[in-house]
This record gives sequence, structure tokens and C-alpha cells, in this order.
Amino acid sequence: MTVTDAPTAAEAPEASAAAPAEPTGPPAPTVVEAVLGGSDHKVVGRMWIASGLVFLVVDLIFSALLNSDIAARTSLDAVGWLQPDLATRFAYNTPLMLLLCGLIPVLIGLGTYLVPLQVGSPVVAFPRAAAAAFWGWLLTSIIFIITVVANGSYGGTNANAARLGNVAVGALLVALAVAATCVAVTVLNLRAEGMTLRRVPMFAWSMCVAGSLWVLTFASALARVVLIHIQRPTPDIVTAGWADIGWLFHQPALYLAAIPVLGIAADIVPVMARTPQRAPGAVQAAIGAFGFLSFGAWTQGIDGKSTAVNTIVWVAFALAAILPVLGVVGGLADTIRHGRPQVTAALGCALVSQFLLLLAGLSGAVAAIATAGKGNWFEILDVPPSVGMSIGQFQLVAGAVVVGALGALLFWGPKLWGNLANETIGRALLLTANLGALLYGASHAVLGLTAPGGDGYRAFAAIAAAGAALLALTVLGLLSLAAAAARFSGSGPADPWGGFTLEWSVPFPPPAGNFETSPTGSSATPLYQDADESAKGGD
Amino acid sequence: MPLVPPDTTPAVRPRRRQAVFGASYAAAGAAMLVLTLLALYLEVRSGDRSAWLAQNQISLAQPNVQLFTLVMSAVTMQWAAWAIARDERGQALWASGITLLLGLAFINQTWFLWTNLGLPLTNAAGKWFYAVTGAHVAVAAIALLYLLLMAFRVLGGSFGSRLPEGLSAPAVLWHVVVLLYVPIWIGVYVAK
Repeated sequence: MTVTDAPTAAEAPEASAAAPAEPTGPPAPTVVEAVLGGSDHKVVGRMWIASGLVFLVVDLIFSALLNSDIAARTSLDAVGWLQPDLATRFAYNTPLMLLLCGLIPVLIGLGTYLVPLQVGSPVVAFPRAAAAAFWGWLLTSIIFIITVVANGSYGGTNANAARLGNVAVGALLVALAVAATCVAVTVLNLRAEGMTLRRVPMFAWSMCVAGSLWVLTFASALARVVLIHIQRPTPDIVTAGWADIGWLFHQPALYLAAIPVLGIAADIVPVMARTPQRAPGAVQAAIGAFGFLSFGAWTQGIDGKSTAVNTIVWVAFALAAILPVLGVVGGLADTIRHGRPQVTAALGCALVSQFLLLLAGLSGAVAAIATAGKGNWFEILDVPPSVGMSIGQFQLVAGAVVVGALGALLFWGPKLWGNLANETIGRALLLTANLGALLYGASHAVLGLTAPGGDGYRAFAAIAAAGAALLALTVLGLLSLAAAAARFSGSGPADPWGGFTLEWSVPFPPPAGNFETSPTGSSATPLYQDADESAKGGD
Repeated sequence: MPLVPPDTTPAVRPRRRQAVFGASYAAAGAAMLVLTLLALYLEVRSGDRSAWLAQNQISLAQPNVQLFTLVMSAVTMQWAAWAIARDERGQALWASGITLLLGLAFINQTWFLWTNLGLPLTNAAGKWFYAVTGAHVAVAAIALLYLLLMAFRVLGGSFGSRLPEGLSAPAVLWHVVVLLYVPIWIGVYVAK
């Protein structure tokens, strides 16, 4: 018998009984192989989300420690309960960690996982680049945090650790830009047949806008990191260099992280209201406009002094940024008014995140008017807003992203971990997230309106510390909630909300290639249309 | 008689220029990097105009030759992209090879200029000068490496009129490299 001859049943009865089906392809990868060597967007997306949330907890704890230290000081220059040099390093690096290791990675994770499913693609664009970006980001995030603890990075005094921290920030920017490119190109190039850009789901659209702007902004910030590094800098030069990337945390650039939050809300609200989004084109345009108004690379200057800030263009950007958010909120409110809303934690998160964004926009507008109006008719404050205003504004945006991400994870939980999260715990988390974000951000925004070093700063810093701690607890609670739901993965319905977009047509876990047959993007809400038509057929 | 039997399954449509879009994003990022450095260079120089590069005069001859080299390479790069889209594999390889040669010549010319200039990195202007020109050369080197990899794939039989993006993607990146040199040429070398 040749090796190509098939054995008869009589020759190998045990074999045919034990192995009913011959494997036709390569063996399925083990879990370890899939995690370490795979480029499946669902695995990579989950890893981004989980790691981003863990880093978010660490960053928020650092922020809580720093604020509690400030609250314990007798004056701003005095020593608190933290070692002074450690407090300095926390002050410099916490915003960077929050943005580059926590907020944006969680959003990129959501985008990497959900965007291909939303646009009807079997893969994310450049899957191996997406996986490489994740591992590069993870490695450099760990290195960055180690340099902060090891007396390096910005504010540190160890020369090698300071340089390594600066290089790690550069590598983080590159990794995030690569990951953002993969998500944006997925929206632009891998959409289902018939799905025009106007029919793209709002979250996918917002990730496309945000991804494009992240690439441009991070490349510009990378230029500053390169400039610091080519001098073979001393720790003092590295620390001074922080002022040159500080524009990332001032308006308008601080809104960059919040662009996908608009998309998240605009996907959750219509489903919860059981009616398609009203004026979807206007909401899409508002998200695009918010992206444009978030571009802030032009505000950077030399040695931390920018000639572009406090100009009429800067004030116009600051004032105009609030308008697209108002537009989206108006669109969502109109949708709720015309629908039959089911009150859920996800819906609450979507709405609260918009409220926090509006609050951030409002504080930015006050700061812009007060700064530009000094000495003229628009002089609305006795003293110009201090840096605390910007810190508060950034923290409000951070709070909005955390609450928005919480809403996204509760809403898309059945797609992400195969089960609906516990609604009661979800509502409790919404409460703590909302309270935490308000305390964390609003306290500094109010503090910024007072004179620097005024008597109230200790109380405000204590409130901010409590807010950061509450947010950290919320994220920890979310991680436990996800882990608990994942234990019964696949036991819940695939589409508990009656979603409208393509990702809800996919079972959990999605099959290889995501879709059994190639989907078509016949409308912006293909599943809603299907339900409508089937109802008519039933009649 | 039709050449294709009627019951033949239609061919799978090739992906829609995914690599071109990816290269466009990379090019946009590279442009932001170089333009940010150039803008900062100009701002710093405007505050220190009299002493700027006072000890290190740059003759315009070398940057002019560099510009012409890059302009020629843009033509050959486009030739390569044109040729592969018409299944002219031989022409595509020749054009890619010439582009690589011209690109390497540009890097060599920049290196020669740096060596002749003798500007120390510790000089007030040195940091900014090397940051701008060095970032541009780094982007050019990455684009050339990408073109080299794609040219090897063309040599191996990949790409053609049905999937021309193997060379049009590096062409996007290379054209941006060439375009970026124009403001550098004007801002750093001509208007010095």
C-alpha cells in the first residue's frame, strides 16, 4: 500500500472511531501562541484594552499620591509626605503616563477590536504591524514607568535613566502612531462592499478621525523628543525639555484623546433609544470638526514659550471646540427624544462622558477669554487663570475618556468577552466614575481661577486626590467585572441590545475571518433596517 | 469562443490600495516630524540671525546638486510605478534601481556636506541644523529601504497591473521625501 492510499474502515476501526475528522489545515494555535505570536485583531485589541486599563490604574494611583502630597504641604514650595524628588517626577510624568500608557491605548484597543467588525472587514489593516505596535508599546511603557521610579525621565536626576525615559516616550509615540494608522486605514480601505464613509458606524468614524490626528500630533511631539536626545542631555536638559512637549496637555491638543468618546456615545445612544441616529451626517461632521479643532501642534514654542498661544486664532480654537460637542449632544438628545430609551449603565456613561467633555470645553473657553481679555472689555477675572486651569481641563478630558471607555466596555461587552456585564455593578461603576471624574477635574479647574498658591489649593488638591482614587477604583472594578463576565463567556445572547451595526451580527467568539459571508454596507444601520423589514414581512 | 469559460468563479478582487494608504500615513507622519523641526529651526534662527552659522558658511552649490538629484529620483520613481502598472517588469526594476542609486547619492552628498561644514553639535545652531537635515536623511533612508524591499519582491514576480501598489506605495513616501527637501533647501540653505 502506498502512503497515499486511505485505510479502509476494517483496517483501522479504532482510528476512525477515535479521530472522526482529519485536520484539514495547520493545527490551531495554543493560547500562548495566539497571544505572543498572533496578529488576530481580537487578541491584540483585548491585550491593548487589558494592559491600558492596568496602566490607567497605576497612573491614577500616582496622580492620587501626588495630589494628596500637595494637600499635605503647608505651602506649594514646602515638602509634603512624599520624597520631594519623587513628587517632582510624578508631577512631570503622570500626565504623560495617563495619556500615552492609559487613555489612548484603551481607545486603540477598542478600535483594534471593534473597527474591523463594524466596517465588515475580516482583519485589521497591517495586522502584524498592529501586533508589533502593541508589544512595542507594552515594553516601552514598562521601561518608562521604571525610569520614573528609578529617578529618571523628566524631573529625575539620574542621567542615564533620564535619557532612557525620554527615549521611551519617543518609542511610545511611534508605537501609538503605528497602531492608530492600522485602525484608520481599516476604516478607509477595508470597509464592506457598499459601505461608503457616510455609512461607517460612528465609533469607527471617530477612530478614523482620531487615528489620523494622532499620527500627525505624535510625529510632531516626536520631533521634540529627538531634539532633546541629540544633545546627549543632562537630567536638567531632559527636565527642561518637558516644557516643549507640554502643549500636548493644553488646549487645543488635550482634546485629542476625547475624539473617540464622541463616537462611542453616538453608537450607544441610538441603540439604547431603539431608533437610528437623527441627522447622522451632522453628527459625523461634528466629530470631524472636533478632530480638526483638537489639532494643536501649531501651539508649541521654544523653551516652553509659545507665540501662538493667547492669539486670536488660539482663542477661536478654544471657543469653537465646544461647538462640535454641543452639536453631538444635540443630535443625541434629539435621538433620545424620538426613541424609546432603555435606561442602562452604558447609556448613562455615554451621556456623562459628553457632560464631562462639555465641562472641559467650558473651562477652556473661560480660560481663553480670561487670558485674551486681560486689560480689555473681556477681562472677566481679577487674575489670569493659572496652570491649574489647564491641569483641570486635561483631567476633565481624562475623566470623560475613562467614563466613555467604561460605557463602551459595558455596551460591547457581549462582543469583547462574550457576556453581558452585571448591570447593577455597572451602574455603581457609573456613579463612582462620574463622581471621581468630577472631583478629579473640576477641582483643579476651579483652583485655576484663583491666584496661584492661594489658601484653597490644599482643599482642592485633596478633592482631586479623592477623585483620582475613585477613578482608579472604578477601573479596578471594571477589570473585575470583565473578568467575572468572561468566566461565563458565550453564555449570554450575542446581541442583547438589538444593535444596528455589523458587529452585532457576529456570534461570540467571531469565526475566523469574522463573517461567515462577506457583509454589505447597504445602510448606516443594516441590522435595524433588517429588523424593520422582517417586521413588515411578518405583518 | 470566449477565452474565459462562463462557469469560472470570478477572481478575488485585490485589496484596495491598502499599502498606498499606509504609506500615505507614514509619509504624513514623516512630514510632520521634519516640518516641526524646520519650523522650530526658523523660529530659533530668527531670534539669533546675526550669529547664526557665522563660522560655518554653507556654499549653495552642494544643496543645489542635492535638490537636482532628488528631482531626478522623483521622475525615476514615478517611472517605476508607471511601469509596474503596465506589467513592464524590466522597466520597473531599472527605474527602481536608478531611484535607489540617486537616493543613495543624495545621502552621500548630505554626508559630504556635513563633513565639509565641520559644524559641532555643541554649537548653538548645530543642534538645530543636524536635527532638521538628519531627520530628513533618516526619512529618506527608510523610504529607500522600503523601495529596496519592494524591488526585491518585483524581482521575485510580485505585483503587476492588477496590484501595482507594491511600487506606488514607496513612490508616495519617496515623493514626500523629495517635496520635504524643497522647504529645507529654501529655509536652511538659500535663505540662510
